[in-house]
Order: sequence, then C-alpha cells, then structure tokens
Amino acid sequence: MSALSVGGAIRQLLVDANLPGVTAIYRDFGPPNAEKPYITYWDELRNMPQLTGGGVVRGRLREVQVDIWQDKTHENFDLGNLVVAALDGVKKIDATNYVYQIRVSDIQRLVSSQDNLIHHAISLEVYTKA
Amino acid sequence: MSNNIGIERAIKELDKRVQAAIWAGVKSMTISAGELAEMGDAELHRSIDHIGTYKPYIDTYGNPRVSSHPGEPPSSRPGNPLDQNIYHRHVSSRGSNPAVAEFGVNGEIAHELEFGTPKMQPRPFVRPAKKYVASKARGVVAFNFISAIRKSFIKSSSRVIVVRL
Repeated sequence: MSALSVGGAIRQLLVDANLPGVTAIYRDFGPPNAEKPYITYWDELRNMPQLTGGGVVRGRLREVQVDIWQDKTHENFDLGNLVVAALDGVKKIDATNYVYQIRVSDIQRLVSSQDNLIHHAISLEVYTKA
Repeated sequence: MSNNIGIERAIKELDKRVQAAIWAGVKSMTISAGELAEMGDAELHRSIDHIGTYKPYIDTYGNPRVSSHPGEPPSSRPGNPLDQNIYHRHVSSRGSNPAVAEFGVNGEIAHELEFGTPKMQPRPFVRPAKKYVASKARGVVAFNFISAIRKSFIKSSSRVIVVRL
C-alpha cells in the first residue's frame, strides 16, 4: 500500500481521534449542503524550505489550515480542543513526504451570526522531509 | 521570609548612572514595540499591493478586478478598503513593562480573506506578516536597547562606558 500524502495523514489523524458529532472530513471544500459540524483542511497553503545543507533542501515547512465548521446554535465547545489534541505535537508519520512533526501555531474562533456559523481556523506547521 | 526585593528597590541601590541606563533600556522597549508594529503595518501594505492573477470578478463598486491565488496574500491596490483598514498602535503607555503595540486589519472581509469561508479558499496575509515581524524582533529590540543604554551613559558621564551585550 502506498504511503498517505501529508494531507491524507492529517485526515487520518482526525479520523482516528473519533471526534464527537463530526459528520465528515473534506479536503479543501465541503459540499454545498454538508451537514455540520464538519471539518475541512487546506494542505500546502505555503511550502517553504526549512533545513538546507550542502546546497540541498533537506526539510520543508508546510503550512496547513484545518477548519471546523459548526452551527452557532449547536456549537460543541470542546471540538476545537479535541482537534488540537489530535494534531499538536504528533511526530514521525510515514507519509509520501515523511512528517517529522506537526505543530499547532494558531487557533482562531470566528463567529458569523448572519450565517449562524462558528468557524475554528487552526493553523498547522508541518515539518516534513524534502 | 522571602529574600527577594522589588526591582525598584534593587535599582535604587545602584549607582545613579546605572539606574538611568536601566530605565533608558526599559523605555527603549516601548520604542521597539512601536517600530515592530509599524514594520508589521508596512509589511501588510506591501504584501497586498500586487495585481491578482487568479479569477476575474466585479467588486462591490462595479470595478473589474482579478483575485489573487489561494494561499497568497489578497490583491488590493492602495486606497482600497482592505488597504485603508490596516492599522498599528501602541497598547501600553511609555515606559511600561512589558511594552505592547499591535498591528492588524479591521473589517470582516479581512477575516474572510485570512481564514477563508465555506466557499472561499484562505489567502493568508496577516499570519505571514506576523512571522516576518517576529523574525526581525530580536534585532530591533537589541539595537534599541543597546542604543538607549549607550546614550544614557554618554549623557550622564564624561567618560564613555562601552556596554557589550
């Protein structure tokens, strides 16, 4: 079996966390009528050289964003913490680009009363082999 | 009983020149915080000042525009609402410890661009600016701190004392 992509590995970590109530995890966008709460992830918002040596890039830093979308009226207040717990500090994942470590660098809770929407934007720094 | 004494009492027991130098160093932090906030403000303006190359659209004023690629900073020309809503300001008063200043963008559209929506990919520009400022912080703080201490010693004594940090 071929190794997972880095995004796929993040998705697998979220699936393994058995997040309560989460209906689905999508790459990029959820479908138009996706049932909330659901999670999306953006892999490779940026991908930058991190470790260089001997004229060769040996490690890279990917910026990934994981988003939790919830109804404001039925918000699960623990979901953000559970996602962070599932991802922060995870090391040594065998993916197509070997993941050294995942670090949660930022969490924002954004509220849209107009759309009855709670959006947790969780920024990840993913250190991978080049 | 604690052997600790307050910082103010400790400073009072020092030579007056050293006291003045320490307070000058503390005050330099306010200058550093302000400079870093200004730097962040300038970086935000710089990062969004480009012409988009992704998808053409008509903006709220009826002007034809082209959006930036997902993952890249949004495209906004000088004077446009996003550009105008960038700000920086001092949060703490002069000489307070810690010194705090901030920079950022007001308005809901900034949130939507930075973090995305269910229908729009994120175009981060504040987080990269924060990273840029963080990478410069140590240098700015050290420069202002050393300058302030050096100036204070020069002012208070005819003999120049070199401080190496």
